[in-house]
Amino acid sequence: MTTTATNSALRAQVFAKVAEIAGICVEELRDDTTLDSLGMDSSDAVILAMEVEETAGREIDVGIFLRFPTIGAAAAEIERLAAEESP
Amino acid sequence: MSLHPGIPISPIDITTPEFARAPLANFDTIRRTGPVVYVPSARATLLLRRSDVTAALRNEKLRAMNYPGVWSKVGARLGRDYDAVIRLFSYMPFMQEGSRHETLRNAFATGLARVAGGTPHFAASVAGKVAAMRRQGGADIARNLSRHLLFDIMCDVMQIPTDERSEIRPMANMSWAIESSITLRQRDEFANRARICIDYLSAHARASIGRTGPGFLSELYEALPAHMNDKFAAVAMFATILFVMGNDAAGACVSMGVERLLDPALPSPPQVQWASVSDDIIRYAAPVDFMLRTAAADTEVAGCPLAKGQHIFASVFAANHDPEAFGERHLDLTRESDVGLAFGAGRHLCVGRRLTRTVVKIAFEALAGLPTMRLSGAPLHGKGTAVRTLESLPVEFT
Repeated sequence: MTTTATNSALRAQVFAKVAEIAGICVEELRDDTTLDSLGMDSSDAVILAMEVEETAGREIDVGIFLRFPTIGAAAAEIERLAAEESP
Repeated sequence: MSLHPGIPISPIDITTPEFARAPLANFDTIRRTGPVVYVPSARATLLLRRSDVTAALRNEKLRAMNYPGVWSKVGARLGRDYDAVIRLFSYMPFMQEGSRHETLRNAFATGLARVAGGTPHFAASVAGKVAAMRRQGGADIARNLSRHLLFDIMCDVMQIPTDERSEIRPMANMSWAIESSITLRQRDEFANRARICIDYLSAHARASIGRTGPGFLSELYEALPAHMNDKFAAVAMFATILFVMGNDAAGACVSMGVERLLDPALPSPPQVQWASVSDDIIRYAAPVDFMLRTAAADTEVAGCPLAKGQHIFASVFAANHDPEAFGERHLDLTRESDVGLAFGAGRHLCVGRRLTRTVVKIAFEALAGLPTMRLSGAPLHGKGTAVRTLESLPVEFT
């Protein structure tokens, strides 16, 4: 799988996990959706990072969903970090 | 986005290891924005001013954070057994409120009162470590002294044989586990270590209380309510808490104190007088920072409204270096200063306050007997961001 394809899959995994934990359909999520708007608190953000890590099979900074205000921004950061790691 | 129009966003993220490595400079940067800022990554309002921090810590509407909550959620969601950790947290007085807080705090304080002023074990344990440093002709203050300072003292007090300490020793450097943004692997590691330590100490308490005469463990046991289930386990919890929280805190006061005392750019008393400024060193280092509180009801902090459910960080480190309170004297070390807010304030004032002051003073008294030291390498910081420690501080004898 190319790096671009890998990162698209990563982004999809992030959005899927957010939807799963928030209990909504992934189609309802947008890039500018915040965890707060989904009723998710800081402990949910921590769990989200851990679950994305388990699903994606790569280490994810646990605080990433706390540092980036929208799920789009967090997903972009995860993609950026993954691209840095790729050869 | 800040919670209140009058509260600016912090220019620096305080929850990073980078912040923890240079808190003095970083807090100065934040203060240029204001004495009260909002930290988005922590979803909390940060207080820096001594008066605001003191008021917040004494505010009855600001309650202890639900630390176990994250562990429960993560454990349930990801199929992990974190029961030992959740139980351990349920015995930490600073994580409780109401009658449970009172009960635990009273029992812990009663037990600690027996040893807080020092026993012969204290000086002997420290002397042993310092003698080893002298024989080596140099040392690492953190690795050779502070990283297991309180741990070994309390193991001696509790008559835990030296050859039985290796499995429980790691708990003495795991205060980072109280932070919410630790990884899953770190949670698993802490849970495993906690189980081992609690099991060992429960068995040790059961074997020694009532059989080896009055002592710290017996005092703790007797101070617990008669109706409490498994008081031996409760005693083990208290001892584990001393290891997890107390050791890193006391040790960091010593190592960060030495780092400051040996800084050639700042005036300091001579090494033989270090013990005379030990309280001010504790103020200066204030390693247990970011007292986290949640509003149990609508209230006000630093003149700003805080709604029920919202969080604040009260930085005792920033308060202990508040220019409004100290001017430029906050960098000085004198006999006249006390510990400031290093142990917090209000109902959650650290129950280990007197013990820590004693241990730090004894450590500096022992260091006074060594040849004159100077720093011989860069410090290596621990991974905690709320409890700041040094993993290494190499020194050489001149």
